[in-house]
Amino acid sequence: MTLNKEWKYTFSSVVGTSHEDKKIPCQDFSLCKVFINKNEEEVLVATVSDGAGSAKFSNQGSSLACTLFVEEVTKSLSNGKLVKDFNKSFFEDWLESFQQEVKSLADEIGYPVRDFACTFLAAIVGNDYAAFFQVGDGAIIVLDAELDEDKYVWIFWPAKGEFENTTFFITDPMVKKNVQYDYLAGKIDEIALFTDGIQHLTLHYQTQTVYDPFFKPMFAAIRKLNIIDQEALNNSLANFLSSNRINEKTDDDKTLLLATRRGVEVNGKE
Amino acid sequence: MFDFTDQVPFDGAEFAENPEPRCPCVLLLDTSSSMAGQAISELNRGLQAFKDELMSDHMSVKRVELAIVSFGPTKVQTEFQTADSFLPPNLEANGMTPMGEAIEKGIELIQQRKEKYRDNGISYYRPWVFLITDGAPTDKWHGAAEKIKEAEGSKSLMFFAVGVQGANMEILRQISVREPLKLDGLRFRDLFSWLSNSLGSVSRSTPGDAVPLDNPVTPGGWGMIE
Repeated sequence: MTLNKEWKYTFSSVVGTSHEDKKIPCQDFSLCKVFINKNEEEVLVATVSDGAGSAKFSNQGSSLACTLFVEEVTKSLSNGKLVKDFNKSFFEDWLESFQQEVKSLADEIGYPVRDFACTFLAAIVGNDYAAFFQVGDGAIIVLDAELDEDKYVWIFWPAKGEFENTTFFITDPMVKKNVQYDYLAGKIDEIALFTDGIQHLTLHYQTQTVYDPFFKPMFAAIRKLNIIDQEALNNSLANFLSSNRINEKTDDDKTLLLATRRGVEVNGKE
Repeated sequence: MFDFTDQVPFDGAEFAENPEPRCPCVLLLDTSSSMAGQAISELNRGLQAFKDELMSDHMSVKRVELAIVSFGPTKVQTEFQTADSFLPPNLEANGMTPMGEAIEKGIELIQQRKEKYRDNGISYYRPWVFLITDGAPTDKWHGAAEKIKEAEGSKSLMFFAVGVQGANMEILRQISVREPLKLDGLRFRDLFSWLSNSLGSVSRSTPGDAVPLDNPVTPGGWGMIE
């Protein structure tokens, strides 16, 4: 029996080497928050976003998307909304308000909305229910609760157009046709979200599976922690994401967000 | 106990091995008898230089896949392969100019290749078809032109046409959606250098990137607009 432990999480978005060379800022963004609702239920809100390479202000698009989403969910939760109320129509309404925000920002500086283009992935996880939202590539993976051994599964396979360099963005006026929404009625103990910069290191394309040897050691490191210094932990993750080992494999911006409520078993007990 | 002065060791992660995404390119090369002499030998030299340039770029050598169809008569010279295994053929000029047939062959090769990519979980970039001719088609070409328009319309490939001295630019204009370019003299080498650079840019582009191509129609560039 696993006890309900508190969520421990870390997230980081770091600039890719190709962006560094061209003096483009990091266009990825990520944000994670735990909110306790009226029923004393811990709700994890996790978001990541990848700003389009050619879009001039996509770094603002991605940070705005994550920030506004977390704000909206937090507000709704404090107004008494339950995790299962965060359905597809909630997300579509939020997308509309996001696009309006971007529109007024874009109008102000005289640039098209397209210049804020970004993908978007989000998860809202309660005690026994979780909702997932995704537009574009990158992926959300969770620990499979059905199995005794640790195995991770993806929620949506990265949504790409036919070609490697095409995907979908939440700034698109026709975004609704590219929205992916799903929910899991059950307990989720571990979840990760990431952008396309590392998706070929974390997913195996031919078998369309999650590459467990990537995630197991990472989650093991967080499970072991008793106290969290959030900034130090995020810095550790950022160092890993900017390490040579990673940069040899990808020159794109990369984002990883990890959250767990598992601990380490000692003498058969948690 | 965890000490905050230490880094949390995240470096135990192992990485999935996935094949590199591919950037397929078909060259449709006119080898009709009018290309005989200096033109064909410059073209052959250009192909050798093309290989060398692709090899010198660490991204292109892994990602750009090349197939060559010559026409006069239509013949698949090399199937899709990366630059390291590509042996530039020694093309000889003789025969007619069955351009329509060659274009259809090129499209067919691309379709087969895409199926292979999908079966093997390999992602890919939009394929390029690059036609070089010094004449006019001697076969029926309207069907091929129609297919190119359709494919461009659905963004399933990019078609480029280059006319060497003597080419019927009027017909090329009816085949290609993009304005065909006229090669300056026999500067095949410069053309292939441009092509290699452009494919290199495509093969390192990520979602949302507009891929900037150098304009070959500049003073000193290999291309001219008639």
